[in-house]
Amino acid sequence: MRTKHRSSRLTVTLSIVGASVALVVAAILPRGSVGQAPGSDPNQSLVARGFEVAPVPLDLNGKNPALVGLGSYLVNTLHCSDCHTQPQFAPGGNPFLGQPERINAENYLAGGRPFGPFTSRNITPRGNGLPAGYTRDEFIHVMRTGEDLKNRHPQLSPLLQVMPWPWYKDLSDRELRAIYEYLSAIPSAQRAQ
Amino acid sequence: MQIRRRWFLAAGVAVLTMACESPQPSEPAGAEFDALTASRGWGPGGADGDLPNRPEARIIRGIDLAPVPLDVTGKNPALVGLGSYLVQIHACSGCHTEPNFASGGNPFLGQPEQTNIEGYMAGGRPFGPFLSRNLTPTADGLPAGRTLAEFMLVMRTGVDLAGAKPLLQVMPWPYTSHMTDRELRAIYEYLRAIPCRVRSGESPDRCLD
Repeated sequence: MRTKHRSSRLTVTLSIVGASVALVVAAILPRGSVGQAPGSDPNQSLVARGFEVAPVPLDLNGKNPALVGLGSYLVNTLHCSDCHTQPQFAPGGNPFLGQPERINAENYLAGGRPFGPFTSRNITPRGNGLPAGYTRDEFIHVMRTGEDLKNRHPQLSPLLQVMPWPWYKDLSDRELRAIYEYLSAIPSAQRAQ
Repeated sequence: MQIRRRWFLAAGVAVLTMACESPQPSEPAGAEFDALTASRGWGPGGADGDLPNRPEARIIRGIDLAPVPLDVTGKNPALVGLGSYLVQIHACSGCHTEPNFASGGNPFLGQPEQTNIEGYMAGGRPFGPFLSRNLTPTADGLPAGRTLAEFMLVMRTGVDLAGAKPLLQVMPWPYTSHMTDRELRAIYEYLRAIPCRVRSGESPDRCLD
């Protein structure tokens, strides 16, 4: 027990020493000389990259821009629109066919892709501004538990059966809030007829 | 004390990541990793509550989430942790682990989740004429037998280095193509650290030195 305690103190000491040395080294070395790829600063680059990759105009009015940017990065790299945009790409813009990518901006995240008896939902803001009509707490609840708050297929299951919520549930609160903030900022859209 | 230690370790790992990370991470940093894995009893959600808004929270959460033992010898443990987090939140195993869950552990049926460890990331899920690939390291230690450069190329361009078709048709590479270099490198580092798996129909030599 005593040894364990001592070893944990040793770990703390080593961590502090290691962190201090690394801090000094990091401070002395000029930026970019430590093997970092361009844009690899963990916090800032994701937000900036998020604004770069958003395929639709964003309404930042009354929203937290840093969260919107992070949310865009997450939504557009976690391939949400793979299922929630139907069709995914504009005519002539399908990268799977070797064409230069153009997302179907008109129906972006408006859902409508069939999966057997299930259909992906429209997760764009409704008239009240809420994505898919959900408050932030409801959205986070759905992402963490898979509970179908709209109960669209009670005869099959109370849980969403296609949405990969068993994985998305492990996103941090901040990341889920960011996704919600981004979904609040995208244009309301209808499904393609 | 527990929380303070965690903070110090998190700060150490994060600073080391920023200071020492290189495109070919090779420095063995097993001590930090051991200390982190020793703390796996933190429980789900701990990173959210205790380490809000900090990049190292993803690293620590990733180490917590990994469903298989990790071999970090010669690898960058911070990248492995970040990669584990990314592989989880990108739901890679949704397609690359078949079946997704162990018997009785399917959360879609309301059961307490248990990942299919035996088939973890070994691919084999059919999508029409396509089959998800085995991403676990081959005997030479390369995930899916790919070098880092090849992996980055596939994730950015969708080029199918193994198949008859020029482009992967199911893998959502048009979306992973937007990820940062650092995140893609982290995913690669994590895939190097997971155990090799042989899927039915594959040569058992896949994992043999």
